[in-house]
Amino acid sequence: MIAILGLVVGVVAGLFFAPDVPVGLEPYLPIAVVAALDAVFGGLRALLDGIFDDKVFVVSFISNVLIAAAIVFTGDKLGVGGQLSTGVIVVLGIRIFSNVAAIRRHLFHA
Amino acid sequence: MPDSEGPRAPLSGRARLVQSLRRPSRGQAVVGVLLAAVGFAAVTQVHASSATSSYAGYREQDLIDLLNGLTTASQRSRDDLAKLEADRAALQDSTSKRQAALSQARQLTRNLQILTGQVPVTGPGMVVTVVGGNVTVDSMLDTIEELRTAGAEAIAINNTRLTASSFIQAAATGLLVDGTVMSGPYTLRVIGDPTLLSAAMVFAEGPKAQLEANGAAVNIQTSDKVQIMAVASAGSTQFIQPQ
Amino acid sequence: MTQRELPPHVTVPLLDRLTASALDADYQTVADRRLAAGEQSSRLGLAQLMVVLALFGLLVSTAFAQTRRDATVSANGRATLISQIAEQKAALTRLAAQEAVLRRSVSALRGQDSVLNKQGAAAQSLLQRLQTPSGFSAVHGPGLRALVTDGPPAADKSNLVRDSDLAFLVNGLWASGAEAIAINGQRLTSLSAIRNSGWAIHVNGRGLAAPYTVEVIGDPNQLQAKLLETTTGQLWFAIVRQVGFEFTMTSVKNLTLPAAPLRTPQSAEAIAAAGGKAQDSQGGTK
Repeated sequence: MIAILGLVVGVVAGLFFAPDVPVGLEPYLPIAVVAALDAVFGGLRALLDGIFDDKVFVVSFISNVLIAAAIVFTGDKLGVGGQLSTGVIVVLGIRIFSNVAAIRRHLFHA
Repeated sequence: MPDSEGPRAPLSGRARLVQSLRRPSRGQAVVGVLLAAVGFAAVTQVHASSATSSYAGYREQDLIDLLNGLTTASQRSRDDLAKLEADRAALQDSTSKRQAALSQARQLTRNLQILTGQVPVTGPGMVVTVVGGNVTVDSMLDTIEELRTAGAEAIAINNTRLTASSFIQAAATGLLVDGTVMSGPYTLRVIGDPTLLSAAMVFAEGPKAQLEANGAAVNIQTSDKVQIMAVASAGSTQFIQPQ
Repeated sequence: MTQRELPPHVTVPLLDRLTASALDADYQTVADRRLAAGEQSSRLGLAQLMVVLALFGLLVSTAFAQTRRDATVSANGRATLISQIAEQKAALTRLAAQEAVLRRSVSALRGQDSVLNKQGAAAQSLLQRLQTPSGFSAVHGPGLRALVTDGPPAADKSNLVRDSDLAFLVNGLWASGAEAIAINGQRLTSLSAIRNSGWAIHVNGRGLAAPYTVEVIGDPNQLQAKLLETTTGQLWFAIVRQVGFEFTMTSVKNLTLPAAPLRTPQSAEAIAAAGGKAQDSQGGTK
């Protein structure tokens, strides 16, 4: 429950302060969000599997976000930004799908 | 055929399909509802994407690329247009020059056809009838020279049109004009200035006087409209060459 | 020979591998390690968890807010781009239509030009066929040069060559097959008259003086022979003898006769034939 509370605090803070994202980082924000989503769903699945570890969760969260952003940033510099971002989204999407499917199996025994 | 009592042999895919068609079940109803939803959504999407040509799916870079492509194509089109304009101007110039040259050539041709006796002509002039008497080569030649001096543009003696190379010869019964035998009466049809032409005939000791001296009766009639239908055939030449 | 077993990352297809490794292997490894150490397999450090989840929440809501803000700006930018694209597309369509029209007109003009070219060539060839024997263009060819000089002086000037004398000569030459004649460089045409004005002979309106050079294009032998044979020719020789002119004829291999000045007919007009076109010349040089 406390964990959910943390999430709520973060969302409210974001909506309340509405920080201006620096222009250079703007394009990478959506990618970061998807990467973060992947890490969160991975953690939730680990929790339901009974093998959750908070250190692993933190590390996977931060590294996912940074790595995804770094890949797209490099792609932009090379001129294949659009394509690389598509690739990253595809992979992250597949992983999210997989993890959500596993979570569904745990929750609904279906 | 499936065995109703003993263990069932595994059904082939086709058999399974046939069985499912024959025996509707609750599962099939659920699938049917979902498929209906899918079909509805698909058709709606097709309509939506064909109705609008929006650029919703395009990233900014794609839009910029598209714009650049279109701009380049427009530029190429403009260049092509400019070249076509130049071509058209050149062709218009050429056709107008050719048209002018053609008109000139045709005008000249028409004039030459008149002067060389190749076409029937009409115009103001004079008709002279010479009846009886003894018309000599000499008096006929004289008459022709006087008429030409007076600016005759076309002359016909009876049915023979005179040209640059016309000649008169004596014949037993009369005269030969360009090889055609004639005996009186002679009708000279002449086109030119009627006043000058008649003056050329009637002056003292002129052609009329000469002809009458030889016993002929000469009648001169000027007119606004004299027609000469006789034409000369273009003679065959063997030695003459254009310069 | 035993087959070496290939490792899974070689045999398993890419998508299967992606799906299989959707969950970080780290979770399993750490859990195994903890089980081996005798602890619980799952550990929830609530403090860290809360912080990370708060961060996540912040990230998501910031992204949402930013996107909403950008939407207006980028929408404007997009709107400009899209309107420019529409403009260019319209321009392209217009230009393509213009090009099509121009192309058609250029092609029509080309056709016209080619037709005019052919017509021009035909007209020129017809013109030349007409001009050559007409006297209104320069010509050359074999023929005769005849020289006529006044007779021995007489008090009443009856020795002078007269217009009618030359007219007889010219008449005889035409009858003998002459194809072109010039007297002292004056080409004879259907408009040419040989006329005395006072004591001077005028041809084509120009005054000439003795001796008179009569240049004739034609068959040199035929010309001389026929002039002597025919009665018309004999009329001329009678005068020559009578008055005492000096008369010589020489064959010339190549004579050049100039054109006579062209006078445009002032009175005569061609009559259009029944078909509505003036007759074209028939026949031609053989």
